[in-house]
Amino acid sequence: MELRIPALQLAQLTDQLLESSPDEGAAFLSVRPSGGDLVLRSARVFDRTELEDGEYGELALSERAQIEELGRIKRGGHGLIEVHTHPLSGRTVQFSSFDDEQLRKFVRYIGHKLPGRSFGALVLSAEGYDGRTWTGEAFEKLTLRPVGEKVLLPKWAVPSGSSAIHPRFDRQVRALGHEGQNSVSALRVGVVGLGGTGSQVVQQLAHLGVREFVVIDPDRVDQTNLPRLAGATWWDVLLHRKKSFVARRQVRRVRHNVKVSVAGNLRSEAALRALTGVDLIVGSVDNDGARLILAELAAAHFIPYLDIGVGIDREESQPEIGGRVAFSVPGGPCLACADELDFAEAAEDLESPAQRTIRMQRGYARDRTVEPALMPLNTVLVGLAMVEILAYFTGVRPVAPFFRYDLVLNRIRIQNVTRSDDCAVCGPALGMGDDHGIERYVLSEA
Amino acid sequence: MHPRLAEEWQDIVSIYPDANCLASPERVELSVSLTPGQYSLARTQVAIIVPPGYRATGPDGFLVPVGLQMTGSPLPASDAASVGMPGWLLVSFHLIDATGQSTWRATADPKRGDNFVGYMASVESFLARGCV
Repeated sequence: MELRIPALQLAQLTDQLLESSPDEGAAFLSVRPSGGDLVLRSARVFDRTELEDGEYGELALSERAQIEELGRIKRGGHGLIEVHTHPLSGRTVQFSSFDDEQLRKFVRYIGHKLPGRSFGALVLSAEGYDGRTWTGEAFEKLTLRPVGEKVLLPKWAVPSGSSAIHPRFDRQVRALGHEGQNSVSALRVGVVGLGGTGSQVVQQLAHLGVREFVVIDPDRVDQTNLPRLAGATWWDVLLHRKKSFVARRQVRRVRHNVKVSVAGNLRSEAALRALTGVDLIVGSVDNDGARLILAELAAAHFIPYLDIGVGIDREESQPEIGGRVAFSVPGGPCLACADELDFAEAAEDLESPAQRTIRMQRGYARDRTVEPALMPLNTVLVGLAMVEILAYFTGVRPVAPFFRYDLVLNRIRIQNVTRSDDCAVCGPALGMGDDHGIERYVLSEA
Repeated sequence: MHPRLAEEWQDIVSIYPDANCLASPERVELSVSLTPGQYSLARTQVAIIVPPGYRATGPDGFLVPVGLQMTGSPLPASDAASVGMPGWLLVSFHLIDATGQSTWRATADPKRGDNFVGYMASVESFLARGCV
């Protein structure tokens, strides 16, 4: 079993716990299930006043602090991972025989206090960790999986050595290094929206060597797509082919043995379930309803979510042509924190057709206009987005998560975005895993 | 129950003790008093459909049973059978400002931003004003 934790949070947790080194530190992690693994909901590091000397000279959590925190975890419906440190242990840190004995007693106690909830334990040092999770009958290994851009990952989380790389990637390896290419080649990517930008996302990721795709778009190719849909042909229009068919064909033409799973509509159980199992979500959608769903799912399961937006407005006296990349990394600001989600638009996008009809009859619904579009503009934004994906997974440089591209002025403006503690999207969703209830977005007819 | 609604449920039932959360579509049904003489009834059932994106996206409109009438003018409502609520009317009520922009502002903590109880207060105020 894995415990996914944002890399930034792990770094902060480790720093706080090891502050008292050489004395041990202790924390309780609140966790939630996520597709057979666990995700971190929150961490509570105990300060020195909450720890006391135990019977055998070890450091123990005070009863009061333990009861208070267990109560909070129970009220929140969370599971528990208890953490302590062995500051002087280095890379070979492991549970001591005393730890083993205490854990066997503690697991029985937790079984009464938090019945039916996940329980596990971690012991940390500055250079490594050991972890266990309770199955109900025995302890099994718990793997800590920090998620975040490569430059933030602890050294022990970065895979060492390199697998054999296919010669086709020779030029790419000279740019990304063996490790970088291996990181890209290991990726499972969900691409939502396979139109003008999404088709190019799939194309570029296929060429970069991504291992596996989940592609989501229910639409079929029509003639107005041909000026922008990478890989589409005039006979796809005649044959009324799905955009997902074109995407899969594109990938297979580059590398025939890549797995490409197709889920037609984002608001289906199959699509939402498939997305919880990917390493990266790329959103190339044209509505804020879909963005809201993706932002929540990504925050709940700690999956990095990169959204590409493109816009052409020629009606103003100064035309506005450009786009933006919004890369929500686990534990970082989401699209709503960056003010890139219009909730009123999302509400309209997510309402039923019947509700929309009633509101239109009453004069309260916006017109759904067809937006102008240009392939070169899409190409620029997709290219910029791909560079951020490479930065994230290969560490070639720190990620620039939020920026805008202005085609008229020909410049990029980096946005400084911080996570809002009160965000209505990522606040409730963060680290909730399977318990976030993303299935409430499922449409029965999807 | 929608997880955001579940967070607010204790507050909701403390003010509307007869509130009930039902499914398909997910909604909260409760009863409110009406201004004497303004409507055909002294008290009415009200239903609020909970959007899947709640609380980030706010509710829109509210439902009353078919048969409720306003004295002197028609209720600004449409038959709600098409939204899965036969026997109900969907009243045109929207939290928007003079420019047509939504005024719904949600936060992670329901006590700090817009929430269900606040929405119901707006609905009751709208009914008291004669649906204007």
